[in-house]
Amino acid sequence: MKTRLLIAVAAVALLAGCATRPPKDLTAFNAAKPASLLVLPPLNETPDPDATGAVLAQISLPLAESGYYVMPVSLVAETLKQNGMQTPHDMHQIAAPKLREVFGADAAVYITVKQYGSKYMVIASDTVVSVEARIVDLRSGAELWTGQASAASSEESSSNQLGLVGLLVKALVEQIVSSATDRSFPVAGRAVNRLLFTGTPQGIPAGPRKAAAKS
Amino acid sequence: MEGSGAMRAPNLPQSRWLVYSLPFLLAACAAPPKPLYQWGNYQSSLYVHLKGEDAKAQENVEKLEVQLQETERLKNVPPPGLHGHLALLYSKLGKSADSRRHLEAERLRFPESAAYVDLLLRNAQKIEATN
Repeated sequence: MKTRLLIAVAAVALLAGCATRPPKDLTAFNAAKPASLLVLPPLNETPDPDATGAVLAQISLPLAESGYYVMPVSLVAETLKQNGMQTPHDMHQIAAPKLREVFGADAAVYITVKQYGSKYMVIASDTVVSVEARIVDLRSGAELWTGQASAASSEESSSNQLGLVGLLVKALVEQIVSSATDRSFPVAGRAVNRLLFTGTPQGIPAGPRKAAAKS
Repeated sequence: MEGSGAMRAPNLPQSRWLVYSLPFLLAACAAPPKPLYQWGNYQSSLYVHLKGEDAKAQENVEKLEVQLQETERLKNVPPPGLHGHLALLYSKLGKSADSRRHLEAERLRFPESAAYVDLLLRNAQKIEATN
């Protein structure tokens, strides 16, 4: 009885991993065919100053593994700072043609961190990271994609929650961050992977470098 | 606990199909694709840099250079931006030749970066000319 129940539960969990939500309208994205993406330092709507860095440090992986060239995020942040843009808010105000002129990227990725850190609840505390993203074509100014995703530390116990993307990333990245203050870092990584990896139901379409690698 | 063995036996025929179908259920989700890039320490190095821990720049540079050698040995590809990040760390350390070398490596590996890299190289030249 117990075995059967376990198997049944596992089967449901496995199938849930493949579950689909209604697909996004990707007409504009597919027509624009961006190849290179410029990620601006994320807006931080949380009280934790590390949120911007943690998200920016991990955003290249889902985008690049989905087949896009991602402009070097740290170098881009430095260039913007040296040109008088001190905060992500300033940077998000720069006009699309100007960004295109300086960086030559096809599209820009605007991120907002909505939640980052511990949430203390009655039964147990949980570390939650929520992010929103908007991809805008720098050639036309048109919005190509929007999305949002969250991840929580409480998901760590169930490996099926990691999904294929999670397993891939686990194999890819050396986790050196383990101090208590950095507990949100891996959770932020899972949130951005869930948000942007191609192949997930709400993710972005595969980019040209992914197709090139396959053929 | 008593009789648990006796309880399990009659259920076997029904549960067997589930056991047999499990590989197919898993196959439906397919194996993780081979990653395009070798990420290693790139993300954690970015995080340390973005937190403003400039004292760790030298240590970060060394780690990433070792990683790049490993990437080359395995005939893998470094992720987009890693050479650019190294160029930034080297310029913070005052090593402009190494910085330029990595900017050129980023451009060679990823021609999409050409416009930006050329701009940075032109600016670096101007700064060197005025010094």
